[in-house]
Amino acid sequence: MTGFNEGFKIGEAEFKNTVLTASGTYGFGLEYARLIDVSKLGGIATKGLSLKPKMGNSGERIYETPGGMLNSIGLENPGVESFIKDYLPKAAKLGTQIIANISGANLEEYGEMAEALDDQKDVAALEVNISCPNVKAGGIAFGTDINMVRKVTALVKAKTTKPVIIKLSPNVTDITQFAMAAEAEGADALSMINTLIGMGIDINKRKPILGNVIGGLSGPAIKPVALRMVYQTAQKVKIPIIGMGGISDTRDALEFLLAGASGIMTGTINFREPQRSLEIVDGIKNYCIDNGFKSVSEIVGLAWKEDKNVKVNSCS
Amino acid sequence: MYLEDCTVISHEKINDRDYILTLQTEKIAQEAKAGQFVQLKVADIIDPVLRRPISVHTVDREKGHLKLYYQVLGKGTEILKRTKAGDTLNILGPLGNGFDLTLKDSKALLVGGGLGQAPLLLLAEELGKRNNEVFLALGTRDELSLKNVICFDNVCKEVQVATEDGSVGFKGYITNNLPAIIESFKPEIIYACGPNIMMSKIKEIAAKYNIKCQVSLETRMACGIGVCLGCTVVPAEEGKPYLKACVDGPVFWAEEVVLDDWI
Repeated sequence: MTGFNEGFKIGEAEFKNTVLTASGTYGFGLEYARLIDVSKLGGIATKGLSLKPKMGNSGERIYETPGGMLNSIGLENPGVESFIKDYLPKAAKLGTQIIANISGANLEEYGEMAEALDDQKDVAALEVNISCPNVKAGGIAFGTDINMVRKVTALVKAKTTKPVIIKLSPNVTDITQFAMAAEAEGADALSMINTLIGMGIDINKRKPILGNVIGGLSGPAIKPVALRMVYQTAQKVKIPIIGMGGISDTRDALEFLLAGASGIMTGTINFREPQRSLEIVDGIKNYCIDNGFKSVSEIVGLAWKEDKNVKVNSCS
Repeated sequence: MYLEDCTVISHEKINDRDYILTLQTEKIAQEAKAGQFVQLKVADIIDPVLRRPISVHTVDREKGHLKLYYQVLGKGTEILKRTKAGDTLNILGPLGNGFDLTLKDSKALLVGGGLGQAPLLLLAEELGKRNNEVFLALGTRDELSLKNVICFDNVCKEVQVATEDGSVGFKGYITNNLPAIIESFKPEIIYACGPNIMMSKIKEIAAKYNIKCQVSLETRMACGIGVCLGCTVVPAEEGKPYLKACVDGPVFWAEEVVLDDWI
């Protein structure tokens, strides 16, 4: 069928479809490109970048949990300079949009990174990680302090001409407040949600399993929580939301779109089903065409748009 | 690296905890090297969510058969053990680097601990093809884990076993026997696979006798292709970035990695 519009926009950045891959689950796109045609993806959010190279956390970094996994990688990455020199030129050839995910140890570093990436034509947008649970200096401290969210958003916006996506932490009482704060400071979009903090204990060693003690929970187990947060937030902000958290198949992706996400990201499922994101691209399109929609954007938020009287309660 | 749906040719129960799966592959068996592994999806359900990394036991390149020797250790392998001949399993592989196979017309000592024997069969076969003499020293908990050791007889000059309970062979850890084996067999290289504490001991012995040594390591792993950065191995050289068991390994030269504080 011609004329069907699969894509969406964030500021000036255009995505050919609504299916992107989440930061930390797809490297810089190069590994999975050996297996599948990544040019069919809407985009790829890079592994979280820091200003300087980071070794990441020591000890156990991952732990599988029912329907999900905990990770405490601790932002191991080559640093923004090496990213620009060694990885971005290759990633740019993959035929999909590259979103640079940035993470600062302090406010200034967010600004420096935004500046360093601003003239990189192959970076479509910046995704600002204010919510990594595994880095003590910045990360969660920023993501759970609403004043810091305001400051980081305003600073990054001032330092870049690229669309700015703020990646929100779910580890707060009311995520809609943080979403509105980011929007008020000029954020072009929101990514939600980052991982939920959790832990595991080794009963034989009688010690925490992860070297970092706590880690971020991802995978199908967190999907209902993420979906609820997108549903609530989408009704309070006007900027696009990229929904993520346990999306494992087309049905999950559709739920997020119907909840109000303009695009989605797959994460943990990539580790198990490298081809799944491409199946979701087709699945969303087929669902929309089969149900008489002319674009994917037509289904965004239908779970609440059809009936303005649906109440959003924080608890049932 | 391929993603293949493979038909199960046979599924053999070795003992109460060990199984050997034989899979029909299209390309994986042809290309798999000794010491590499595959990521196996045990079922189309969300729990467990991750694939299981399982080392290549051996291959029949002509038929395209891939043999995987695994132990039932948890949720994933509990599901896997119910697989029957004729079922289909999705496999990602071959993955990892594999053992160094430059050795020719020489002598190699292979040391396995428990399930660590799994990747040594293809290694012994490949070393044999290169006109090397192969000595296998295998340590296990008890005789149960030795049910499959007969397959090494054709490819090894000598096989020595030790069990922790003394039910077969020497009583105790196989590492206790290594100095004597090294002094009489005089290997040019040692290849080892087993628990990390055992790898640490073997590294120490190899260094003492000044023999090259490769160890195959096991870590928790999510993706298997270098993306998730979960399977960290600590490099011996300080200040260097962490190594990844999935793409930098799972086989490492013993002197390149820290094994002591890594259990």
